[in-house]
Amino acid sequence: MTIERRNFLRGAAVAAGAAAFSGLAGRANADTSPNSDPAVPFHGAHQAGILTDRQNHGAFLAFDATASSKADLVDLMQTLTERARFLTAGGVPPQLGISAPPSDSGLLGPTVPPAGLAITVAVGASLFDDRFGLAGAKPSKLRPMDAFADDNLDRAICDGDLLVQVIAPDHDTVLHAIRDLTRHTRGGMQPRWRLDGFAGPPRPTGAPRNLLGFKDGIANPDVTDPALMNRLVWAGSGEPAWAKGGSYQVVRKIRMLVEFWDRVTISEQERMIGRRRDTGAPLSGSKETDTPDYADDPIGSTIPLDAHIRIANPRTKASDDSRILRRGYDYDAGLDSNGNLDMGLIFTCFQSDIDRQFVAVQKRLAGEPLVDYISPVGGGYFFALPGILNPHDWYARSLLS
Amino acid sequence: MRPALPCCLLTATALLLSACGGSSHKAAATPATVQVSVTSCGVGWKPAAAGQQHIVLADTDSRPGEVRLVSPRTGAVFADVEPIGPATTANMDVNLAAGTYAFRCLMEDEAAVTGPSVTITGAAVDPAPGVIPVDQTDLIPATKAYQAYVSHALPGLARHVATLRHDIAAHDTATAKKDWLIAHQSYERLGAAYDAFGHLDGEINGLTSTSGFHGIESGLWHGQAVNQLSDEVDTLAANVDKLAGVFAKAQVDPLTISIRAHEISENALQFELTGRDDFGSHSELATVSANLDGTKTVLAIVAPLLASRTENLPVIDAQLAKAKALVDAQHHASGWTPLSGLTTREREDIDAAINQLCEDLAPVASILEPRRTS
Repeated sequence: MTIERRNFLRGAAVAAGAAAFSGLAGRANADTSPNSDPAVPFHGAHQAGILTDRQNHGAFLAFDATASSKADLVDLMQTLTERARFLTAGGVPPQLGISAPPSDSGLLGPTVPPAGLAITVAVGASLFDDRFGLAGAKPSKLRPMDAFADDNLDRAICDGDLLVQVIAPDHDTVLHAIRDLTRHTRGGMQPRWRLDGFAGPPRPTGAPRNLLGFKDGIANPDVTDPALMNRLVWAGSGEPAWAKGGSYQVVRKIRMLVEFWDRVTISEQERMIGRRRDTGAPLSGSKETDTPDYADDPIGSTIPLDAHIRIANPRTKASDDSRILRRGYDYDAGLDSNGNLDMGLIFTCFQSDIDRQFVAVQKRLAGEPLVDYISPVGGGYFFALPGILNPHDWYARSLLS
Repeated sequence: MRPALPCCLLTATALLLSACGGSSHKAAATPATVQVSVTSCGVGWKPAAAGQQHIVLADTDSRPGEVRLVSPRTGAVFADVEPIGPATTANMDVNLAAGTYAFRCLMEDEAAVTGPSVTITGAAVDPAPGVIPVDQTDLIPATKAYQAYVSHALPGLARHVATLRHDIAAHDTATAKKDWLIAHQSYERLGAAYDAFGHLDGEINGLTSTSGFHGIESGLWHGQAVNQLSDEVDTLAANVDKLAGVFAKAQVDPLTISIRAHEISENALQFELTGRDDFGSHSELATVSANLDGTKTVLAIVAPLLASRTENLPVIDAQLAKAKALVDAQHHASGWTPLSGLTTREREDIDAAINQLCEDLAPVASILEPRRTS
């Protein structure tokens, strides 16, 4: 369900002649030291980490606010802002002599490099309950994550007051940031759930593969097209004034039953997905970048009518507005209670309107054959806050002041 | 660039650290090599302007030792490298405000030597804080006060254990459970974290023996016939008596008091709020409440040493009170809420409050670490 939606989106962008291959940003030059990865700009109308390319590593942490007043919540947001500003710019952590333990964990050495780090802060529906007087300010589509027909949600790993997304080319950069952010906010928020993800390199070329072994994503909507981003990513009319510049973010932990999947014949796998596993080509084409052809295949002789890519994107005019900006990661969480591998996808997407986009696609996918091999278990709906405009701005200022 | 924002108000650590604006620090271009030895302490230091200093220390002595950058006037320490071995080098990175500084070399078996004073001018953002070190002698009154506190409380503990012993002798399980909790809380209030009482802690608390509090807890709450616990409670009573005798005469290491406040809440976080030390009574929150009482007592004992060395005491006190109120709100007429009975929000609030308290208390252990001063 998720995999091919990604193919569809990226494929659509290619078909439209937009930005070509949107693979991993990774490191521009393999010889470059991670210590010289440039800083991702922190200030702007929109937060970093949304249009920013997918990185090799990404972590998603949901928190509940334990701040006991609106003033404490403001302090929390300002502290988060200060830490994120420092971590993404890099610098020398304060040296404290004998007055305290070291101010920094030291994971990245004595001088913290920017290391390509991007931090994105989003809010969940529960933040807008009666604790902080924000009930009237909730983004119109924000709510606890819907349970779809094929979901197996554990509500303990769903939702949350806040979501912090931390992405970087290296895992230690991500962990350094998580330790710093949580250390400085112990009293103000408590972790609720966490997902750590990664993105593999292209195998051998083109879009990277997901953990089902299929190429996963050829292109997303063109992030360099501001009009398109306004239409598909940034929150639009009908939202509170404070929300300008923000974006709805959906995160879903989707377990892949990989042992079961590996016991399925290749032709059945390919018919479920609608693409060749080796090349990534649609079954109606020869190469990864070919556009699936449904017009000449009305009864699904080539691409079955219930193939993932075909349901996810019927490629009609009406479905164009349901496109989303995907920024997903693979996860690997060890074993389940029976010794099966617990791995899958941290599906992540950004959009202007959850209902028009994510939910519409999700409903189309209900009951697709692929659901036997995947199991959505957690995640949430969030609203990524407007950007940090300048060195005096802070997360959620427009909401809280 | 200390911003107009009230940065980091949630964390006392952050306040102390002046953690905002670290990105404006620039490493100095020219590292200075400074000698560390009895005869040439601080030789070679040519300070640049105020701000970030990168100093390479070279121990040219035949002995290992410790080297500090201090204010020669007050003795306040701004940076510290301990230990440094003979014929080795080590970095000292420190962000210095304008002022007068000197190196102080404390080589093994030698009196401390202070090098030449150097005056620095200019401005620095978020410079290193200077703290006057605490030595063993400074800690003696606090150590004695802690010892007196424990000694004073031990007869009460012995009485509570005697009551428990009586309940068990009378085969009264229901009353024994109630009195077990009272006795265990009075033990947990002493702040025995991290082996303050040596091996007796393991035996009394019962994590290393079946005759301690947790062994008896397991028996009482898991349906063991109460008359089978009489040997255990006899041993517990004997060990409490032994502790009273031993502790009154013990030479308590001053380091004990310097880390006490911090370690009690660390243990509460690690062993109680995770449920690890629950043997059936589900009384973790009662234990945490008693631990917070112990922390408050220890903090009051060391407050005179801290008052001149940190501005964070009110922050710590407030956080301690907040944590205590959240935990005690789970004490009802019917008893203490078990961890499993907390709502997600309640548990998050308690976890966050104790976590924050641990952060706030961490600098206390650093400030109070007994150090050589001569």
